[in-house]
Amino acid sequence: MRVSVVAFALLFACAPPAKHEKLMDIADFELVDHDGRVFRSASLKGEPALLFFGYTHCPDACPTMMSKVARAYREAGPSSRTIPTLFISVDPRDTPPVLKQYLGYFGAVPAKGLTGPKPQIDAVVKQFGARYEIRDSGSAAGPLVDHTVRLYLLDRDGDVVKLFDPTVDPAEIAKEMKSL
Amino acid sequence: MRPLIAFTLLIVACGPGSEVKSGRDLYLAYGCAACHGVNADGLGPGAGLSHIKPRDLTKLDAYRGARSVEGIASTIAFGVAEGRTGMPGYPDIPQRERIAIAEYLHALAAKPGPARLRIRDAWVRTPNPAVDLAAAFLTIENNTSAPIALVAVSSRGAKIVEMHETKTVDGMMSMQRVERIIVPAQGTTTLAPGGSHLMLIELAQPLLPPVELTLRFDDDTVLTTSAEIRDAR
Repeated sequence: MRVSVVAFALLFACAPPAKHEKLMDIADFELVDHDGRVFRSASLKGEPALLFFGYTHCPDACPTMMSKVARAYREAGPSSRTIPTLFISVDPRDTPPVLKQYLGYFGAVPAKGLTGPKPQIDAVVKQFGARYEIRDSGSAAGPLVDHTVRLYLLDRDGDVVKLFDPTVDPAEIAKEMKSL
Repeated sequence: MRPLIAFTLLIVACGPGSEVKSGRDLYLAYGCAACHGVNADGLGPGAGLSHIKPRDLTKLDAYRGARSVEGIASTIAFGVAEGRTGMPGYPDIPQRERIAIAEYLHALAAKPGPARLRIRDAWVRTPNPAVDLAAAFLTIENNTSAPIALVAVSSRGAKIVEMHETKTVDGMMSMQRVERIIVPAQGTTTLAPGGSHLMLIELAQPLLPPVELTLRFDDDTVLTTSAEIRDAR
């Protein structure tokens, strides 16, 4: 019995790593990047990417997730810098220059801020099964945005193969980044 | 009749075996315990009769009046601010005895023990230069037997400080501005990333450590803590 288990384990270990299962098929989309240029998702093909919906005035959830992403890049090593992180803002206050400054703060992350007209943003949000709602909060900081907080890992075809929730350990993100 | 009483008092005060009564004896003899309790913890039998809770005199920071021996003696003589609290004045207690009671209470209250309320581990997340905001986090320890609520925060590091709570609403993370953050009796409440935080808005430029945070509670306790600025990137 033990021999067959070992043989089976060996077979398993030597087989090529299991391909990630696609969780979501994502159609190509177009937005505006943090330099004000047109961004086409098709330009990513061939490279994996991380993707996150957020907004710069986000008091806690977004900086917390971005900090985890930064730690994941450090843990995954310099080769992981070919994997960009797309930060798609769901707040019209986030102009390209604001996004650029905001993301520049997370130096460890090769981040690209994305914005665009609301219908375009909403279409991308919908594709990823995300949701958001801009709400007058009574806060002196202005409107707050309720939003789903998930980090998406896209494979080389631009499809979602992994979802991370806000409690994720950065080491797990790093491990998955390296597996692609 | 009156001379007789005076005579008796003289005997009591000066007679052999009547050395100076201890502060605690006097505290009990003058009926302070009726409201403040035999242990001076504010739990006397008369405590429920007033709508104002008698002070727990074992906690120096609970005192409404002055906290020095002389100050406490003066509170015993004159009460607290003309009935603003339930503490009346007792001008008839001789000064020497008021001092003795005050010394007893002061020693009792100054005894080291866990503070009623304690703020610890305060930190502010390094502000992102793109936004004029920063989140602050801390732990509040409530060592009293009643829940307490944080009702206001201010800081020299920011024009406005709000209290925010995270809730998951319909699968979305939602920040709600709240008017109070409750700390349970004999418990702690921790404000941490992913949960509640203090939102510092319109920051001092530059924001320099340590960031002083002043917290006001619903029993009018005011505590100040120093928060470090932590780069969480």
